[in-house]
Amino acid sequence: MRIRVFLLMAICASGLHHSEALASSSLDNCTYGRMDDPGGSMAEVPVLDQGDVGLCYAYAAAQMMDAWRFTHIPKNIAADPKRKQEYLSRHTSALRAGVGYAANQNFRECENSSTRDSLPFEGGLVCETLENIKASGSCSAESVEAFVDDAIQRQLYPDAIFESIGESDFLSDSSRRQKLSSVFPRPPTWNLRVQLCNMNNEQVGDQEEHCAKSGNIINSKSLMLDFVNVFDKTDLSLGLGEFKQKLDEGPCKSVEKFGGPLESSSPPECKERYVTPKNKIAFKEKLEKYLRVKENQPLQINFCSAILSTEEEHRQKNEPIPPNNIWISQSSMDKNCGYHAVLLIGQKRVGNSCKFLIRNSWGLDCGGAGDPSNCDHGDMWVDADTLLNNTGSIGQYSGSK
Amino acid sequence: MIYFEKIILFLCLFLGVSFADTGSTYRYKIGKHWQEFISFERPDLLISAGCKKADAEFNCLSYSALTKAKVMKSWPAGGANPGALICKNLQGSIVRGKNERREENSFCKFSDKSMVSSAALYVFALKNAKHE
Repeated sequence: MRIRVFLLMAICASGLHHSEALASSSLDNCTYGRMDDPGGSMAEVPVLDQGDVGLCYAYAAAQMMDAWRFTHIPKNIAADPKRKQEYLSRHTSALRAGVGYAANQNFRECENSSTRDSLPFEGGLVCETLENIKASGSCSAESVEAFVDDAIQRQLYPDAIFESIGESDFLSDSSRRQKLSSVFPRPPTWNLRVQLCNMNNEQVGDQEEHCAKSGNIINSKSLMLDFVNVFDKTDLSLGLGEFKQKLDEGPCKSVEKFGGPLESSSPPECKERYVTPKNKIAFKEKLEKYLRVKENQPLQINFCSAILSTEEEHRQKNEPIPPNNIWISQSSMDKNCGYHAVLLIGQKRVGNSCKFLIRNSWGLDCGGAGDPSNCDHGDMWVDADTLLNNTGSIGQYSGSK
Repeated sequence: MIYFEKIILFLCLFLGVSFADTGSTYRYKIGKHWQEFISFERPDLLISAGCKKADAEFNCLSYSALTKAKVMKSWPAGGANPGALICKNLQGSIVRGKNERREENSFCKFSDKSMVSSAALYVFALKNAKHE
C-alpha cells in the first residue's frame, strides 16, 4: 500500500513536470453553477473546519458521501417530512471516516508526513475512504459530538477534569499526562502514535529520542481527538485499529449506522482520474459542463494548496513561486506544494477567465488564506486554469440511481 | 464621464473599507455552550467578545498571541487549517465552533479562556513575517 501511494504521488508529480499552462478554453462553457445553491447536491452539507488535524481527505470523502445520501434519500423516508428532516440532520463523521480508512489500510506510519507530529491517519486517499465508508456505513458526526459533550458534562473529558480541579486545561502534554495519571486509577491512553518518518524534519532526532524513552508520545491535538482518551483508561498503546473499535463501540454505536449507499440496490462507485498535461484541456471542458449543473455530485480534487495563497503570502513565507505558478511540477510531496484534497462544487465566469469553486475544510473564513474576496462563506473561488495546472487527480462518486 | 466613474468607484471602495463589517458579533457553539465573538481588523477575523474591554481596547491572551504568531515552514500533511497549526505553537488549544447552521470555524483557545479564530492567527502570522 505504501508503495502504491508513493507511486501515485510520483506519477502525479512526474506526469505534470513538463506541463504548460492550460490554454484557455472557450468561456462559453463556464456558466454559473454551484452545488450548494438551494436544490443542489451540497445544499444540506455545511462548511466544516478540520482544525489542526490533517484529515482533508476524510472531510472530502464524508462530504461527498453526504451529498450522495441527501440526493438519494430512500423513498419511504423522503415521504415523511419528520423522518426526512432527521435524515438530513445526520452527517458523516470525517473523524471516523479517516480512522476507519487508515486502520483498514494499515499503512499510515510513514506516509505523507511533513510535520513531525502528524497523526498516523493524516493524509490519505479520498476514493478509498469513500469505499471504506460505503462498506461499513457512515458514523454520525452529531453522535460523536454528543458523546464529547456528554463526556464533558460527566467530567470524563480530560480538559473538563482539569477545569474541575482548578487546573489550567492548557498544560503541556507531559503535564497533562501526569495530571491525568493522578486522576484516573490507571493512566488513560493519550496517544495515537506519532509519525517519525519525515527525515527532512530537523527535529526528528529529538522526537525519536523522546519516543525511545517514553514508548509512546502524547499527541493530543484537538478536541475531536482528545475524547478518545475517555474510552480507554487501561491501555497505553492504543493503535488505530483499537481507536476505530472504540469509536464503533461508543458514539458510532449509539445510533444506528446509516448506510447511505448501503441502502441502495445499486451503490455508486468512486472513480479517480489522473490529470496529465495531455488531458488537461479536455478535462477542463468536461468540468465546465459538469459544474454548471447544481444537482450533480461534487468532485474530489487533489491539488497543491499553495495556489490558495496570494503572491504576497508566498513572499512573506519565503516560498519560491515556481514558473507559471505550477507548484505540483516540483513534486506533489514537496512541502511547498501542500498536497490537499477538497471538493469541486461550482464555477463562474469572471472577466475573461473561469473560476472554480472549491469546498475546503478550513472553516467559514477559509482559514484566512488567500484574497478574502475569493472566500465565499467558506468556499473558495480559484482560477480554473491555475487549479488544473496544479491538480494530480479528480474523483467522482457516481452510479446509477 | 470616466473621471466621474472613477470618483464613484473610489467612494465605493473607501466606504466599503471604512464601514467594513468589523465589530459585528457572531455566536458559535463550542461544546454545549454558545460563545460570542466579534470581528476585528477584518470582517472575517474573530476574537472572543470578552477581549474587548470597556475602554475599547483589546486585552486578553488571544489578542496578545497575535503578535507572536509565526507562519509554518512547510505545508502540513492532510491539509490541516494553517492557522490551527500556528495555534499549537502558541500553546493554545484548538476547538471547533458551530453556528446555527452547523457551519464550522476553528478557534485557538488560551489559558484565560479567550479564543481567536484560526484564520486570524494565520493572517497575523503573515503580517508578522512581513515585518521580520
